[in-house]
Amino acid sequence: MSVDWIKVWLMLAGLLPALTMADDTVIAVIVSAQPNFSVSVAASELAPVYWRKKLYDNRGKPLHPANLSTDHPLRLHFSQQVLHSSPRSQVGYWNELYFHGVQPPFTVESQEAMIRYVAYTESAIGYIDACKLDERVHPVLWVTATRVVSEPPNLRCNAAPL
Amino acid sequence: MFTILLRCAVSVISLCMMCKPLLAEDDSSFLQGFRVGGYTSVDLHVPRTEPTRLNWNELSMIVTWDKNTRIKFFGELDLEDPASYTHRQGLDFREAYINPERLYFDLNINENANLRLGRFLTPLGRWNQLHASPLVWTASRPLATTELFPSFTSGVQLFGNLPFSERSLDYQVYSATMNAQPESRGETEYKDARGARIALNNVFNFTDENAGLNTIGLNYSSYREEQPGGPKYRLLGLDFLLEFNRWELSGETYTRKAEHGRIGGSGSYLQSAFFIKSDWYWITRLESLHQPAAPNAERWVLGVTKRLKPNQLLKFEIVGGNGEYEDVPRGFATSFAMMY
Repeated sequence: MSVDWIKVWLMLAGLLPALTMADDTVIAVIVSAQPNFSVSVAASELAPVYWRKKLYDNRGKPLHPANLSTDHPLRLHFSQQVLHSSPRSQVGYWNELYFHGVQPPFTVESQEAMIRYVAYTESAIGYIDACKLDERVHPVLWVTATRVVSEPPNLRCNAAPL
Repeated sequence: MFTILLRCAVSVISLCMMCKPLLAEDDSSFLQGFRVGGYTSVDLHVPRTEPTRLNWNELSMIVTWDKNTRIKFFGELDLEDPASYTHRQGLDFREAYINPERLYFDLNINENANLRLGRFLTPLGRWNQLHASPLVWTASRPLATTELFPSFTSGVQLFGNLPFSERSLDYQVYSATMNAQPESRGETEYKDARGARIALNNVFNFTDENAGLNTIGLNYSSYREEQPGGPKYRLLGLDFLLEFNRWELSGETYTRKAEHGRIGGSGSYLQSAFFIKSDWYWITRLESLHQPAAPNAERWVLGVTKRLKPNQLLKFEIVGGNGEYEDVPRGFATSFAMMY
């Protein structure tokens, strides 16, 4: 069966839009645009920050990573690319951290809530669809379909947002 | 000595609470740094040779203080064995005792290093550091994680995480500074513990959508048995965790040498948890324990565990094989555990 026929079938099944979103979506990892609230994060540090293994930045400021809710498509994509696991499979891990007195990342329900949390919280780190960036936040890393990079990739923002 | 540490910690907290109103800041913000939680579990054991026993294992209270500064406090106070019931003895509360399991302050040094002062779980392997009932798949604990090394250490620990590329390295280096331990029934007591653990995270860098955690850890420790003239041991251990698709595989292995080249014992376990359906997991474990002055054990454990909620586990298991240990009897066991 050719790839085109598979696409037709997926389109008829209503699955192609979701598949396209997952492939094309670029996630921007964001920090506050306010210099006194901002924080620097290297690509190699992103996973330890979100696993809550790295709790402080290089100035001794506690880091405040934020997640979207567990069923949000962007959370699934971020979790897969950065943490190499699904939010569902992380339940045991967060219980383990709770046992050691460490709280999981703060959870917000929407990308707008994520922008507000990051913009007005000191040393906060979050992520949104790169096409939803605005002046309140500053992108520091980009999560593409295959890797985490520090240079902005080409964005196609006319695609349906997540 | 431990009582002194406990008193010091309570004094520090009390002083902080008394002094805070003198500062210009809002007093409530200090109190908001406290969080209280805990866990509890109930077991029903039907051992091969002992009477059936219903046991309330523990009622644990975890208190943390974190106000976004470089200093954090952690305390866990357990009421151990609050109640048990057997047909012959009826309801029994006499075995209950209070155990200050963990009590420490964490001081952040820099982004890669932290200092821990107080009583903490000895950083040896995975199970010992995550032994709470709601965190483990089985009601019974592998013998190798209870019989070969000290579960707790009172002293100082340097720990942190070093990220590199797609992976990161956890490290823990520790040394006991106090040897007197609070009451912990049924355990061999050790002193002068010191050692280190390193663990490499995301070893295989899986990118498959069914991938999960994968970690490998290397452990070293030296310690002395508490009793007069007790031997000094050196222990080397390896542990791992691998999650992939529906499987979670984990294991630990330890070998111990006593002074003057004498054999100190060894122990291992290998465990799998297979996700069946609807939060039910099939559990299989093989384990062994060899000690010079105690019965050898070759055990197997088969069971099913249901994750009722993210913080609740219901377990059913059968423990077979040879070697009788009072804390981990062979036979059937069921357990309910929850974290709150």
